[in-house]
Amino acid sequence: MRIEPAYAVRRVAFAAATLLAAIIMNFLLPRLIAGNPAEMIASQTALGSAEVADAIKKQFGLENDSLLYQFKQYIVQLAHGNLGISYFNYPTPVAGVLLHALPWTLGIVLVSTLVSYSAGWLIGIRGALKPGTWFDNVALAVSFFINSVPYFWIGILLILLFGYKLDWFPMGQAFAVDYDTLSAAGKLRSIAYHAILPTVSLAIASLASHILVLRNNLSRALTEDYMVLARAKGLSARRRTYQYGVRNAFLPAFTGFMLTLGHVVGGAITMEIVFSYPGIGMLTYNAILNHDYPLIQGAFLMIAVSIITVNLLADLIYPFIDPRVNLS
Amino acid sequence: MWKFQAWKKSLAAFAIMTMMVAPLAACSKSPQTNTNAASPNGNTSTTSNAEAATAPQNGEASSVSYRLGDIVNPEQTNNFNPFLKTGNYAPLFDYLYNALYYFNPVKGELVPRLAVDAGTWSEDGKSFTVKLNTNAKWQDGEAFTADDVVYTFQALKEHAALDFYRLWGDNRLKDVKAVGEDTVTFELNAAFPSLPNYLSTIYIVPEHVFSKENPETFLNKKPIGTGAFIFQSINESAIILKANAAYFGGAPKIGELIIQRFKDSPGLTLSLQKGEIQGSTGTLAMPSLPKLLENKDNKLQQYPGLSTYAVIINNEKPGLKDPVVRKAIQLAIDKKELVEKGEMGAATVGNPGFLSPGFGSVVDQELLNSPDYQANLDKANELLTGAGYKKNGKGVYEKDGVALSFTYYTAANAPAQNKEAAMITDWLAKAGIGTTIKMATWPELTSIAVAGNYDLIQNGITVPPDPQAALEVFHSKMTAPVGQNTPGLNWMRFRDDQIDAWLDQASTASAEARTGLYKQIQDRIAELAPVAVLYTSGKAPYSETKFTGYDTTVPATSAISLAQVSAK
Repeated sequence: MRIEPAYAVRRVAFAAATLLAAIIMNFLLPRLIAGNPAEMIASQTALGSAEVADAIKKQFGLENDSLLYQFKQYIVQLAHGNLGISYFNYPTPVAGVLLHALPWTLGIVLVSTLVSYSAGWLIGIRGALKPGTWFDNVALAVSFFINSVPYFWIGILLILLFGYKLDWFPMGQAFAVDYDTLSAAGKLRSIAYHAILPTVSLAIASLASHILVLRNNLSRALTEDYMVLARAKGLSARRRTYQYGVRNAFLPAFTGFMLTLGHVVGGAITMEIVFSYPGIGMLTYNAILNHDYPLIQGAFLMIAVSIITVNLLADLIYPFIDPRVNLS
Repeated sequence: MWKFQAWKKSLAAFAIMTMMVAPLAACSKSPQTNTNAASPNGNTSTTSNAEAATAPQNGEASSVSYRLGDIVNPEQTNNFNPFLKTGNYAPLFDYLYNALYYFNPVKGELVPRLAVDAGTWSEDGKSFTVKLNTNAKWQDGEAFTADDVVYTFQALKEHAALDFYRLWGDNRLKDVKAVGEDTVTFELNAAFPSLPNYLSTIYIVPEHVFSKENPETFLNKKPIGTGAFIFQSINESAIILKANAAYFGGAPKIGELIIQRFKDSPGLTLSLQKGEIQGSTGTLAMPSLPKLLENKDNKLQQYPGLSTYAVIINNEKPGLKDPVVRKAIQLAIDKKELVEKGEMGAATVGNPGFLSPGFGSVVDQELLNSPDYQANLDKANELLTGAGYKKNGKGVYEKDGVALSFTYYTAANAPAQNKEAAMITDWLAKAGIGTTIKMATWPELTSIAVAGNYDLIQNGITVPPDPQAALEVFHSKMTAPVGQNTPGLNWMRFRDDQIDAWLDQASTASAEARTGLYKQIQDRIAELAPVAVLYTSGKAPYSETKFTGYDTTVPATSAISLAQVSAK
């Protein structure tokens, strides 16, 4: 099996066009928020000083109100790989601010995504293969329950039980406060220990939907005509289940998985708040509230690039999983 | 057979996961219970609950860590430059630096810090001389001199973006001169009696460090101050400071001050409850207060502070332009019940004249107890009917086709604020004033208020430590039409020529004349009700489980107090 060149070119061109649209929207959207960051800062702290407001505007490069001028500057800087200077982290470059927060987000959100998909798929497959058993019934009941409670509730419950009552895990933060005095191994242990509750809570919160999606897909696939044909051909039960049933049921789940992977860099804002955990989510949220245009643009661009890249990757991998895609 | 194998696999997977997690959990106990980790200063440094609990009994306080909690976001850790208004965690500067004076929000008075006394005014009020505390030293061992003070104020002059209070504008500072090593004279273009109050807002920075940099962009990653604590390090979990043994106010009795970083107040309050942290600079989830205070060692210090919470009224909006309507809103709100039930009693009932009780003798206390400003729904209804308003079918008053029905913004994700909003809008409904509640985050509330796109907003207004500046919130020069950002805190779009004139007169008047003018201004603010003042809120939760010696004549978790705290 190989990828048809025409198919690959189409997907890459589509990704490039999406990226261009994302860049333009990325510039315009933050500016649709009313107010100017320099005036906001001056209004709250400068007690009526127009001079201070002007000085801050100049400092932030907002002295020219023209959108066209700002867009030109944005594109020129972007072409040079410069995402600008964050207003509220002034004068630190946006790239530096984002790179500082990214590892924490990737560590927790990526691991929890992989864990929840793996566990969700395994449980979903088992439930679909043995419908009506106690395992399937319990998995379904728990899935519906988890799916109906908000994430922060799960997070708070875990903190109260394992952090406050039992004192097994820390109630928050990314590592112990004496981190700087620890050895390299101690630092790793501290990070891993503090990551357990946030990772587990994120994994639990998204587990239910993965279980339900795969269980339902597989249940449907197992009743398809091609399964009857496979049985009539005398194929083994194992081959029928995994190569015919699970493989087909897996297709929509794979798309969902790749989409989730693309969103990983966006962070998990509720988790970051509940566990006082550093990451991209809160950074982006606060940047929006503070009207920090360069940081908003930088964060959104990073998320857009990540989603477009992972989607492109999914498109290119898909023909290997489902050859029909190449033909169409 | 397959079933058996599958279960075996599941069991094996579970066992592997348990094996992976268990050692991590077990090993990770070590950072919490690992006492006596060596600190860079050679002292032993303890940083956990257990450590604080097992603090030495023999007075070797230098080995003890005190943990303070606060919400410190990533964008607040970019710099440690006290000149900048963004990118830093401002409360930190109280522990690292000193201003010439400290404004004590508990008593509403100035306390000399780098100054030795209250300072001396010249006969014409155009020169103010401050004698400096020669015992003060920079934390890197360099001598603190008058040149540092001169440099700090000259930097504000040369960099307008840093001079937020416009000390060098509007006929204020003319020059700042060193007179010898230990005296500084502030020369003024015109009388500026509020100067000492403003001096409490400017942290003095070391000339030998800052003069090599551009103060507008200097990140000051290794801050050197004259304060009671020395900066050690910062990470995603905490800011770590150590005691300054050479502090001119006396060496702190604790060895380390750790400011633990949180993202929200419930998490911080839970840590206080658990005893993980011993205090907070003021952040607290109010609904959890009763639970927190069940432990008798947990205390809540309450003082008036500089933040006044109010229903901010947009004076330009139809209906709200009418002072009678604003007065009815003011009368409908039972502030005492609001403080009791909404703030769990941990706030001070606000003065309708706006000035916080923290400003002491210049506050018109008569207004607070005047029957004219006590909650009275009947009187609110009478005022409106007397002014020609009539109730429509929905029970809402209207006049000339304008119904008294408004949007009411309150903070999202703030349970106490939401409870208070429900109480207030219920009272307003009883006064025939309709409201539609909308929620927005705290920064959004400020943004909406600044731009004027609102009818009513329940929010706090924090003023500088100067009664003149606090009252100038109502000056028409501090406002702008709806749709334009206000240059100052007059988010109400309130304009009154009489108040403007009195404020202008007070800005250069003698202390005695100012007290009289301030009383007149407060009376007029109460009468015209540009805002409906609710309460002022200054608080410092702290624990005496493991520590004692808090100075409650100042905020209990301020640098002055924590320099005196010791382990039990």
